Amino acid sequence: MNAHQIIRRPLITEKNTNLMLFNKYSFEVDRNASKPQIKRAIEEIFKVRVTAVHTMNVRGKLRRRGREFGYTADWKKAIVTLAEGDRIDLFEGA
Amino acid sequence: MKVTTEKKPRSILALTVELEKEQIEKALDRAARRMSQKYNIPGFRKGKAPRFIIENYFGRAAILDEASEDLINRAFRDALDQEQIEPYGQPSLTEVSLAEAPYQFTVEVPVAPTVRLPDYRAIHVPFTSVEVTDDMLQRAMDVRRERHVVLRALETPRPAQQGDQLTVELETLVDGKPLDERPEGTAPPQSTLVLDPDRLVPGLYEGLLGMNANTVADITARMPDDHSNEEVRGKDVRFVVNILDIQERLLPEWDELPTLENFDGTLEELREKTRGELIEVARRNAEDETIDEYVRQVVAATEFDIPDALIEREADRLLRQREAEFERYGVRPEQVYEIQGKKREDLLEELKPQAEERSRTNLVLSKIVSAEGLSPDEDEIDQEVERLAAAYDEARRDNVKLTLRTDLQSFVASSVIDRKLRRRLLVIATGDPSFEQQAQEAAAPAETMAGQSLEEPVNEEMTGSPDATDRASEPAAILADATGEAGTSESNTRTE
Repeated sequence: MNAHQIIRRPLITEKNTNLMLFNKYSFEVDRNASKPQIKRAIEEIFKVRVTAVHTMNVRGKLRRRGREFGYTADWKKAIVTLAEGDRIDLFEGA
Repeated sequence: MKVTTEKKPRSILALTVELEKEQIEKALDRAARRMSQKYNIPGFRKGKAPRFIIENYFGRAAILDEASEDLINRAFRDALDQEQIEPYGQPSLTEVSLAEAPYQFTVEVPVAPTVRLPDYRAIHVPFTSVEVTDDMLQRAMDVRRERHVVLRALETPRPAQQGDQLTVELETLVDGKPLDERPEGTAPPQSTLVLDPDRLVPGLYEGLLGMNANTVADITARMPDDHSNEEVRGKDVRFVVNILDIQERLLPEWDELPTLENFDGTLEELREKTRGELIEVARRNAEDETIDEYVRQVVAATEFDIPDALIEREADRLLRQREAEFERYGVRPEQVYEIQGKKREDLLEELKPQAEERSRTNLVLSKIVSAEGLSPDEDEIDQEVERLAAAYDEARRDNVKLTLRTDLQSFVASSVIDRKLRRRLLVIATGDPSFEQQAQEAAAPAETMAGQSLEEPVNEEMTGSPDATDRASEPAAILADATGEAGTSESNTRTE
């Protein structure tokens, strides 16, 4: 898997913007990606040093359409902590 | 903040304001916050998105757009403060470049007109007083008598004699065309004529003399070269007069006149009183003329730099006055415009020359007031209040006085200044200091009937109204406007 397949997109939300104050950046990643893979991918794409990766599986949400029920897709979220002094201009052209 | 000013013609000041980057950034912050409150950005609650998110989401240009109005307003206000500029009208933005350095914009502001008075004390206008002749007095007395005329139907029909009153349908034709337009096929409106050589145009009188009722007279007469109506001056005019009725006019005997006039005294005393009134009116008229002419000359010699905004405002005021007049007659101004086929804007345009003239006069007068240091003192205000209140009945007088002292103080003050200015102008214009001493007696209202009698008593009924002179050009009236600012006229009606 190449780095861009692992890292799907940055998550830009109020919560994540606040996390940026602690040098933590959030991404949606491939469900099967491991922490080391994510670390490598981020370092490759953004040319930064990653000190920690936290991941979580986010369950899909229940959705209803008429009497049909279904779920949105499950996905994996990764919160990446960067080494001090590094930053990602995620949002440039996001 | 750096402000450079540049003077432009017509009292316009071009302000170029250069802003520092900080100011721009601050404004962008504010704008971003506003935008974040206004728009929904996915992932953020309203108002929670930080500036850089907004900037990415909408782009810097959009924020700048949002910021510029606020930014320019603030900066403009600060610039005015800093440079101590009093704007005189709506500023207009001519140039903006805030996206990159130098961050600056240019605003053109109309500022107070500059008026450079000439050496107005060196301008002189002769004062020509009109002599009140016995002839004028006699005419005034005639008018008095005329007011008590009694009409009586003829007992037996007879041809018209001098002094009779005719009820007629009168059509006036110039070059074969009716002078007054009216709907096709209708008879001319009924009017009355008094058969008197002094009251009718030459020719018409002779033509009507000796005619019977229920006949039609067809008279052609040549109008004098100095006739008040230009359309007929020096032309042959044809009158078609349908005489409907002839009535006798019974004038009262001269001895009865004092009684009829509610005058306590003899005829001779009444005559003297009338003479006094005539002299007073003549003097006032002569004063008015002198002042008008003097002001005209000063205005002509004054250098002006007037912003268009001022003229527009004046034109608007004039038009409003006119509209108010229509409304008093129960006509909506829009209706009038429709009939005239004109738009309000056109009329404003038309009024501009007049408005400019008035603005000039106003400016000159208020300049003179301050140059001469004319201001009302307490005593004069008191007197003026007493004088104005005297016109009301006892019961309301105290109330009126109170209003005059509070709400209408500026009006009272300006009317005092008016009068002082009038006196002063007369002194300056004529070089005769005695005019200032007359200030006291002139304070008494001169609204007497003699005022009417001095005007042409010969009411030539044939040709519409003579051009009404625009008394608005009277300096006093203007000054009241200028100093009382927001409508002394409105406040005036409030007390009535």
